[in-house]
Amino acid sequence: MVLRKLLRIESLLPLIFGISLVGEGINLILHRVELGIPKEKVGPDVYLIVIGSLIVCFGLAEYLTGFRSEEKDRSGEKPKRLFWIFSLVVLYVAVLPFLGFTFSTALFLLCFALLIPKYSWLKAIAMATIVTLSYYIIFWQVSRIVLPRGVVGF
Amino acid sequence: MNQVGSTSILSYAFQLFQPLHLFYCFLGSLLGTVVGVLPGLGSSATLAMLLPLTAYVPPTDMLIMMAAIYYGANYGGTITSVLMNVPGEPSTAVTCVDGFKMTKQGRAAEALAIAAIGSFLAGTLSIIPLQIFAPPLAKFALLFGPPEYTGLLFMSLFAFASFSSESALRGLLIGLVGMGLATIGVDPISGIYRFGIGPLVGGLNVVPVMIGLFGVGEVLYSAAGGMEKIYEGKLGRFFSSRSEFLKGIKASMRGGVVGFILGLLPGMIPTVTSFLAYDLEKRISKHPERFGTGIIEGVAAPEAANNATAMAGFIPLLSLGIPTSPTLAILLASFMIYGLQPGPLLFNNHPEVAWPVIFSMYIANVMLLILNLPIVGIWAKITSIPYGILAPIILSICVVGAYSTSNMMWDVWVCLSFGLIGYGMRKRGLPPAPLILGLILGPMFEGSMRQALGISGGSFWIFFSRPVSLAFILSGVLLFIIPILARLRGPKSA
Repeated sequence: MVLRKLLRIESLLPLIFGISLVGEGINLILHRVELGIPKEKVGPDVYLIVIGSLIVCFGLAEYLTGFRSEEKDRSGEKPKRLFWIFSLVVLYVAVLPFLGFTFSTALFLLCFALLIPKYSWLKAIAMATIVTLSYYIIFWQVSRIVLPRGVVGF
Repeated sequence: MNQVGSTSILSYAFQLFQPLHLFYCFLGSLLGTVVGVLPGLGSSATLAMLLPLTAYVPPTDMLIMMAAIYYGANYGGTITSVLMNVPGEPSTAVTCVDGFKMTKQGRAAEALAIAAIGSFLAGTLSIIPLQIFAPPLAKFALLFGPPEYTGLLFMSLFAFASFSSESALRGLLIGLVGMGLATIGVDPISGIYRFGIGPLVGGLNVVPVMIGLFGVGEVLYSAAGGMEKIYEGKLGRFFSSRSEFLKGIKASMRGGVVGFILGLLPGMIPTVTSFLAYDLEKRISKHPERFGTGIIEGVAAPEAANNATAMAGFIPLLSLGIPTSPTLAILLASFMIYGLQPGPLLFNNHPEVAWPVIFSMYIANVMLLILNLPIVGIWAKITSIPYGILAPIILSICVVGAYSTSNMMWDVWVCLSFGLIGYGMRKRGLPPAPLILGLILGPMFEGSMRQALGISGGSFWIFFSRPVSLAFILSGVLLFIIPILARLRGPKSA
């Protein structure tokens, strides 16, 4: 229920964003006046206000009429599953700079395989090992992409 | 072309069949495909990394290889877009819309095959005008000033927004949000910070936003919906019917023309032209409502357009020395490292470099088709992997792609945030494509509009007093209004 309520709030996001664009535009105008910078016809400030105002107008119209009635029928949806997947990804990204790409990815793959499709330990370990090894070869050895190294160094 | 006789030009074409030239051509095609498949590695980054090789590799071979990597990346980028909804290259983002839907219907092989064939046709046919019309076409493109660009971008934004969603206003709203997001960071003209707090100072990078909206958003949506496999059942054939194949080929030809003509304009990168080709295809279709449901034209047109644009970009580069995209700017740098100055004198002073590079494009396109088409079936089998295995793999690839944009964890968090937004948008049936287009075109629109206003001393009349600019603006308004009027007047079911 809490998750559903949170997702409804997202309908207000365009409005909030539009208002913040207008606010930043006004802030820049005040800053310009304070510093005595000459005015442009459509400067970085006015452009923000115009775009922001348009978003607020359209956003309000859509919020009142459209967005709420658009929700698709997803009777088979599993909000708990969504929560667990997103939490796992957030945790994965949070530990990435400390554990390094290889270890955090192996852990993420293992936890995902155990918690989401609920694979056996053996299957989960095999999947995590094979994928992590492939990543190690592709990203570290072959293409040499710069990735978080963490305390381990890879 | 006038300076060197046709016999000499043919002799340069035959020179290309030297084993070393062919080897570098193949290496470039292979690297380009690999670079396209890996979301973390773009063609511009790859070319930049290869620049030190200029000290060891002869100029003609090096330039043949670099050119092949540039357009080869478009071929490879399609694979992840179609199979996983993760754009391997920004230019293949719009392919996700119908390509991934085709995959979910068991038509992955068909989507990949038409993308490869369409790219091959558009790419190969674009080389002919590149050979013949390079100097005059580039001069025409130079006639476009800031007011004309503003008009063109205005039209693109309005036209795309109006057709990308059930509601034109909703499409425009999403596009405007993209334009608003693009304002974050340093204003390129005045240098003033907008939302200059913490990591926002540098602005939002398009790549993590795109990966989040398409890749992470899709995984969350599919996984939450309890998906077991992307597609369950037998994998489809290359082409379900002759008519589907013909539809794809026709769309490829139209997309190729759009991509080629727009690709002559500076700033018109393959990412933008692929969106415009998709929009045009939807506009002229008898069934525009079928776009976004997994339609072959929705894959063929943008794929052909991005390859044609990549080819067209060589016209201003070789004949005037003007790069139209960041990747071509790196290619220009490599010409200069060798002491070669692209421009009107290149064909006169260094025909032994210019002509083999152009002729190599024919061979590289054939190589790319040979590399891509036979393995389409193997790639398509990815869809039968259980989603419990595929989902974490896609998510970790998204993380790699987002991080390697600028090697900052900030970009990964941006990607995750937009993943959640992408999930919400999918849940409510809102299209993410206008947001990406707004994010890409927003800075170009703002920049050209303010430049034009600078020229006119602040008068907006400049946009209406120049015929080309006026025509674009009027077309944009008309294209936006017509679907609204059609919906108001037509039956509700239409």
